[in-house]
Amino acid sequence: MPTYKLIYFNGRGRAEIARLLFAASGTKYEDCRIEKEQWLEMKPTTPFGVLPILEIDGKKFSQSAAIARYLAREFGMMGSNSLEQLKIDEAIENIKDFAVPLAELKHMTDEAQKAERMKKLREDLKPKTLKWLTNQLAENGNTGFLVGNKISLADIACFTLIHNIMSTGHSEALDAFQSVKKHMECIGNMPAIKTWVDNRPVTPF
Amino acid sequence: MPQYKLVYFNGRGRAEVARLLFAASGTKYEDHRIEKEQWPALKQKVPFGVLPVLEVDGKQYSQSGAVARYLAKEFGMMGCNNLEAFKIDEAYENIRDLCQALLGQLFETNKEEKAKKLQKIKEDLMPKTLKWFTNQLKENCTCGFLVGKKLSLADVAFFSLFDNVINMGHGKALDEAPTVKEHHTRIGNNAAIKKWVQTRPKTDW
Repeated sequence: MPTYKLIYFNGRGRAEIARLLFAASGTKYEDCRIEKEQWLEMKPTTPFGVLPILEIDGKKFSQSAAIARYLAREFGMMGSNSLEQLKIDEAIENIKDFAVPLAELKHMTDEAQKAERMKKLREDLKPKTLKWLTNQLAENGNTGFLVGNKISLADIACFTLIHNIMSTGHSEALDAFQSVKKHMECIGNMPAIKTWVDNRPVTPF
Repeated sequence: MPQYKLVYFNGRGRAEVARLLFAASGTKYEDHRIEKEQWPALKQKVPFGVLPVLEVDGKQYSQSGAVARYLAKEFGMMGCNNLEAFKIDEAYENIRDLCQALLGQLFETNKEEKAKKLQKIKEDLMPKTLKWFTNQLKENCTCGFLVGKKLSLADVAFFSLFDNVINMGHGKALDEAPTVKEHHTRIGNNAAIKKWVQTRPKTDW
């Protein structure tokens, strides 16, 4: 088993999916959270000047999506064949196309741009993504998973997005998408995930 | 061998990496290009209302990144083990970040923002990316590929990116990164890639 160290700020942000993968698979790792001041010093020593970084036996890798896909493959959570893997990959990219613009909203200062972004989220990205997830759950025979018959990276990414929406006071967004809400609850009730979510540091992001 | 059909507009855009993978691997596929007028009707019929779409034996999949990684894996261009796949994936995401920044700058309508974005690319993202890729080529000095001992998705995507960088008038950036420039030339001279580039439809983008 390699020695894993995940380096990020003290927040969920771009590292939480990796942390959930470690939790779901029961794999030990060092959850290294750094302060902003430490980052300024560390930044020049990192491969691309960004976080998160995954260290595997001391070797550093960046890019949160590549990290997530690597860990999912290692832990058997990237499908049972290459078409399932494609479906999972498609799902996480669709989720990211909604989650990233949504996360960026809170950092936007220009009011006109912020209003435009909110409109795009409300009228396009949100309904499109939640509808796609609803269809995918149904197409997968309502097994409780998005793809295949066991938990995958797609379920973890979906859980993260929906849990964020629900716990930031926007639960009405899920009113018309009950199967997606139920999926989030089921994934969240899996013992390893529940233990992690109940015990992880509580952070503003 | 599955039946492949790649559906996109008549341009390189988000489909060109997939087309290069088909070409490099010598795999037959239908390169289906649609006109802008056909798009509104087709948009209702594709999984996420976006292109490109890859059809595999008639089943549709979207998300250019997921499609590229799937095809690369099918064609033996995603590394020989999970760590190589990770490195290739990391490289692809770094390429994508630069691509997105370049496109964002190209399509920015606000003059001030446009200039700001160009400055950030010239002073930060472009040199940072070129440095990462130079280091990666030097670290993998055996065979002239970005990762491992053979052509991978990383080489193909990087070649395609810098093709676009040159076409957009930023070719001078490569002059300051001779290792990267040499890699770009060498991948371009791969027989199958060269043939595709010479015979593909000529489009503005």
